[in-house]
Amino acid sequence: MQKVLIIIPAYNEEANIENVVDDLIQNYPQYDYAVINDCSTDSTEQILEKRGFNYISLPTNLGIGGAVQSGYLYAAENDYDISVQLDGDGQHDPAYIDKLIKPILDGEADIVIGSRFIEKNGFQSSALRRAGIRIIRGVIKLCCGVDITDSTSGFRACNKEAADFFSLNYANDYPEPEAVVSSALAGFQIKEIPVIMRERGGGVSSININRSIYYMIKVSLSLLICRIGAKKRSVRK
Amino acid sequence: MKLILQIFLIVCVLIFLAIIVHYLAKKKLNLRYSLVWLGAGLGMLVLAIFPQIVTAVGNLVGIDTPVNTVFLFAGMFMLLIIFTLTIIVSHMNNQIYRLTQKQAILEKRVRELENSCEFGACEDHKSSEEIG
Repeated sequence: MQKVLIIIPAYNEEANIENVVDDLIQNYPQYDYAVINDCSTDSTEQILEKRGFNYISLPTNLGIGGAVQSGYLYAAENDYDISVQLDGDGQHDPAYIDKLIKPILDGEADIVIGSRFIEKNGFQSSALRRAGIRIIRGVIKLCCGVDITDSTSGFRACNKEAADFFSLNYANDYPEPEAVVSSALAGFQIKEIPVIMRERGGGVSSININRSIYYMIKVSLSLLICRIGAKKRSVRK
Repeated sequence: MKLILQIFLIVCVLIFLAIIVHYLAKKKLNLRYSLVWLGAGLGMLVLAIFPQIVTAVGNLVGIDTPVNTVFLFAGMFMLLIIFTLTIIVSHMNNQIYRLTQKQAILEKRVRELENSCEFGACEDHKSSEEIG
C-alpha cells in the first residue's frame, strides 16, 4: 500500500475548509491529508484546531507557492510515496484522486495534472482566463515541449521523486505553470487527465480576474526565464 | 579643480570611510556587504586626490566636462549597488521561506507532542515518536 498525502493549501477558507476535509475523512480515509494554513486572517486556523484536523500553520503568509511547497516538504520528511494537491476552496472533487494517482502507480508518469479543458465539462472559468491559459499553453510548449491544457490547475499528484524536487524548487510567484516547466525540464514525465471542477464555494478567489492579462504577461516572462535558467541546473538521472 | 573643493571632497570621503569602519567595528554591518562600500570609498578618495584621472577617463570615453564623467560613473555605481541589494533581498527571501516552512512543520510536531502528553502518553517515548 502506497502512502498518499493530500496537501490542502488554505488561505482564508473558513467557509469551505470544513466541508473539504470532512469529505476526505469520511469518504477517503485511506489517504492522509495535511491542511496548510497560509497565515489566514479569518477563523480558518481556529476551525482546524477545533475540529482536530491535521494541519500545518505558517507563521507568515507565503502565498500559494510557498504554502504548497511546505506540503511537499512535509511529504518528503514523512516519506510519502505520492503527494496530491487539492485546493481548500472546494473546487476540486476528491473523487478524482484515484484517477490522478493511477498513472503514477502504473509508472506512466511522475506528475499528473487534473485538467478541466480536456473534456470541457463543469466549471470552465471566464473566457478571458481561458484565453490566457491557452497562451500559457503555447509558451509552455515552446519552453519545454510538453502540451499542458490546464497549466494553472492546482489539482495535481506526483510521486516521491517529484515531491522531493518540488520541496527544493517551487516557484513563489506563479507556481502552477512554473512547476510544469521546471519539472519537465528536470526530466519528469507529466501527464494530464480530464477532471470536472466545481465553481468555488464561499470566499473570494485569490486571483483577481481583471488582472488576468497582467498575470499572463508575467507568467510568460517567468516561464521563459525558467527555461533559460534550467540549462544550468542539474538534470535528473 | 580648486584646492578648496578638493579638500572638501577628501574630507567628505574620509567621513564616509570613518562611518563604514565605525559600523563595521560595532558589527552592525556585515563585512561581506560592506566591501563594495569600502571599495567605493577608497576609489573616491583616489579620485579626490588625483582629479586628473576623471579628466583622462572622460577624454577616453568622449565626455567633455569632467563633472559629467563623475555623475555618469556615480549613477552606474549606484545601479550596481541597488542591484546587488536586490540579489541579497531575494536570497534572504528564499531563506525566510524555508525557515517559515520548517518552523511550521516543527510547530505541528510540538503541538501534537503536547496533545499526546495531555493524554498521559509522554512516558512512553516510542509512542510520541510515532506521532512525529
